[in-house]
Amino acid sequence: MAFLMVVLPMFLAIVLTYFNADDSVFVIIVPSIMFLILIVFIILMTDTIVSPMKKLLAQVKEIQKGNLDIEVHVTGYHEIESLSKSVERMKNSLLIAFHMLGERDISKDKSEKNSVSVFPLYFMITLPFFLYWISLTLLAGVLYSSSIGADIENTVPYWWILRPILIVAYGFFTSIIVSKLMTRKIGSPIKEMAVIAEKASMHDLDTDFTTDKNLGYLYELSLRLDDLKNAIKRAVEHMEKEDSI
Amino acid sequence: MNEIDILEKELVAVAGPLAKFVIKKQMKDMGFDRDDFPPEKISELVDLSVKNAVFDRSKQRSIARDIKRKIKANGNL
Repeated sequence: MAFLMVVLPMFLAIVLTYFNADDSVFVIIVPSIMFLILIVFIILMTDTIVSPMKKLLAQVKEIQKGNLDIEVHVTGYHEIESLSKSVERMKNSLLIAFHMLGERDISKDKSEKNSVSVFPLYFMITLPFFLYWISLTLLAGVLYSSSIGADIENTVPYWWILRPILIVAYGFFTSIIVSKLMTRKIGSPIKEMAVIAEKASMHDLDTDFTTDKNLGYLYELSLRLDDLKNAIKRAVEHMEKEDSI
Repeated sequence: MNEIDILEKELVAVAGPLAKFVIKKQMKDMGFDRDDFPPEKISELVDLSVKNAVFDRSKQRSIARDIKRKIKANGNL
């Protein structure tokens, strides 16, 4: 995606420079076509994050219903696959609890009490790209407009070469900002959740899953995973108590 | 790290935190404690523990084989 955010401004700058576009209609039409390309990529990229999360969430819900015979297997980014393996391990532990204790009741303490909106995750993924494209289009419009662009051309030397460089540089720096923002807002919470899930599915049953409420699917998944972890914790305590008798 | 530790570590990595209770129960059913478990019975313990901790039958054989290989690599089998 970052690659596309650098390449598209280059293409925009080359097209606008090559055709010497002073016409405001041209300045609007070319970015609009490229905006459609960007939308397709945004939808595809959102899908690579949201779809596996939705699938995993559906499987966790099945486990909470007591359906422990399903195989949890979700493919995608490394963190999502790691999360899926941890959920499979947690499910297996619950199955052991069922066989050894006859326990199949997995309470939904937290997840049932909290209503979760799915909209914010889509919103948080797509918003930075929309803002990026709108600002790039505005910048190109201003730099290539016949009134403002011509005024600058008269005062700034080599403006014809500076203009595309400005657009490409803008694309480059905004792609860095958007990538960092995406990593911090979406990537890091997924990574953190994968780490906690791995610990919870192996030995550490005391660390709670905590995710930002604004992350929709991710937040709901963290609540449900916390409930699964607590069900395992109760089974462990039960077995330890039986062992000590 | 002795053979039971390896078995516990590997089985928990596959079946989750409750796997260690399965191993403990199998040892008890076989009539041994963790401290006096005979090395010649390890292979049997691995098979029984995997059978009772991993419910996907298609995976049981390969998981048991991997665990035995790791125990053997550690010089305990």
